[in-house]
Amino acid sequence: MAPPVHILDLPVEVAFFILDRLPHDCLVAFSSCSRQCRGLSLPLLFRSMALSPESIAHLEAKEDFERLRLGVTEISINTYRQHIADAGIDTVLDHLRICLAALTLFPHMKNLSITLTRLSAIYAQTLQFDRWVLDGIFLAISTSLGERYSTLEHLSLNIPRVGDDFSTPVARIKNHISEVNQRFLGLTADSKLVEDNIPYPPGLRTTTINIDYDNALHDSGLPYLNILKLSSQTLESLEIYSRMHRALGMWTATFQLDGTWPRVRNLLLCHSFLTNQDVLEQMAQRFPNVEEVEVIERFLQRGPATASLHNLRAMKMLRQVTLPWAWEGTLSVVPMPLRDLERAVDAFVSHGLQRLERVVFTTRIGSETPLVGKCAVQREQMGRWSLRWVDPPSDDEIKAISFSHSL
Amino acid sequence: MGLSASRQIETTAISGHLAFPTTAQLHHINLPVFRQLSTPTAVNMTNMKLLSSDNVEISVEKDVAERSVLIKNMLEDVGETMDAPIPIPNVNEAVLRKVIEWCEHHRNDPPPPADDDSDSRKKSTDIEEWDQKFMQVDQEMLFEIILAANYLDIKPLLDVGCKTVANMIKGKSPEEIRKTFNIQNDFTPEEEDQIRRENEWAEE
Repeated sequence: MAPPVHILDLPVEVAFFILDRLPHDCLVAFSSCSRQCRGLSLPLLFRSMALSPESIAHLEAKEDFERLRLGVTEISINTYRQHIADAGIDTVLDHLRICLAALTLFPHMKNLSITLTRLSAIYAQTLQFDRWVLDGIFLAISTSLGERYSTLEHLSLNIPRVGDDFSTPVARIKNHISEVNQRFLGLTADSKLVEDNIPYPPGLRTTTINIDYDNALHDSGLPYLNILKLSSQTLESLEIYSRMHRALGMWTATFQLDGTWPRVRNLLLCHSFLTNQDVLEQMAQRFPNVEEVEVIERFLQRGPATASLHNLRAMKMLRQVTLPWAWEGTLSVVPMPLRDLERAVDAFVSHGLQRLERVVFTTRIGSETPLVGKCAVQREQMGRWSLRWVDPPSDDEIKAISFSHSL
Repeated sequence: MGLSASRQIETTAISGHLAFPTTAQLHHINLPVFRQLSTPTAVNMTNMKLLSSDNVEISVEKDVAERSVLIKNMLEDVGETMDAPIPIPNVNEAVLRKVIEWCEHHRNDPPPPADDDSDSRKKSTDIEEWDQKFMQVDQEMLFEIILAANYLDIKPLLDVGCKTVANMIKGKSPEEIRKTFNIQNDFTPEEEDQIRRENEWAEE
């Protein structure tokens, strides 16, 4: 056997073993070196793929599309970009419809992320991403995936804005969109969706629902949670948050959700949830085995969210809670008085949360690449609690931060 | 295993008389009991022979050779009696000696953890110091070691080799990668444009 002297002479499985260790940007660089490099890295490069009518048309015409498509495990469909939204609502719907139909090309896709469009298209033509639009999307996904629908493990839904009055008059919309898109959305007589019969995903393990601007939630009782309906025996983790800061009590008791999700262990919620006892009690019933709750809040101004911490008391299986703590200018010491923490934790324990082990407070410093400080109150032996840094920032990091603040 | 066990006995045996002698010192202590214990025990220290592709016989301790899953399985298949050298037709003498050097240094490594395919392990390109030095060889030797590790089925060595190559790619521009590995750029300008566009569809 002639000795190989060249990286491209290595057997494919060994080359894969090397390329698999590269961060994405290095893989991109390697794949841009030569045709052979490109061919070799293609399936790894496109493990996670941004689907668009343009990318489908282009990649489908490629010789090695067959290898490429079998490597794809994650797909994102994004109609958020300005030029798509500006082109009008019919373009947005074309984009969605073509991409969802193309899902059939990727048999190993497990993760799907859909980002709906931004404001301009909505304002221009009054289509809002209400429940019936989403239902049309799910019908399209289920048609494309067929029997493979149950292998979809993760769904991420990013909805920049939903309607103020929640329900868009269908008659008004119909004038703005083509017949093929009307059929896609189930607006024609022959494609009409029956409410109780929407094919929501049946095997989700994790779900992220991110709603930027959430007027509709107030009136509608979180209709998006409907998409979890058929995943009640598989769902393990749920993230639901909104970037918009909601006033206390705005998450109303109209949290309507039937059924239970007994396998859910992790919940990630925005702070608004924490302020509403009714919603949290409902959640505790729907997700009876939650062990970890993480609360995020981008606009927390001062102090921790301890005031409403006791609203989590209905979640009896809790082992760990992670809460945001606003940056108050020093990091060389634990960012809060121990007394306050103990009081907060005492409140927990006195509510019978016997399994609780840790309450972690995170503090974000800096806006562009925030430094995350973590501090935990941890249950030690004999019911005593202690406070300590978890993954404490290094002295250098603290110095850098203090320095930039003193400027 | 055999080695560390016998060392332990040595230390225990002498601890009453001497203050922890080094292994080198032990070899000079002229007591019959130590000499006996320092001699490799029969079970684990058996020597065997490998035959390289260029027909050179190399003697190696059996537990060192068994770092190779291929050889280990082979020995299990034929039983304990293995006097004839095992031919390794894909690996020449220089490479085989290098591989054996690695196996000797890592003879007592614990087996890798069960969740072997975890992302964190795969993504990490940290290499321990001794291995880094070991891998400071020319590219041809590096690729040959990788090929030998693949053929002989020595996962941890394959791992170190692939990490070394990955580190040579990391942080470089396409032009620098071409230079490092002597790769010819055979793209047309149109193709390069197309690739830039395509890369936008490949996400992290």
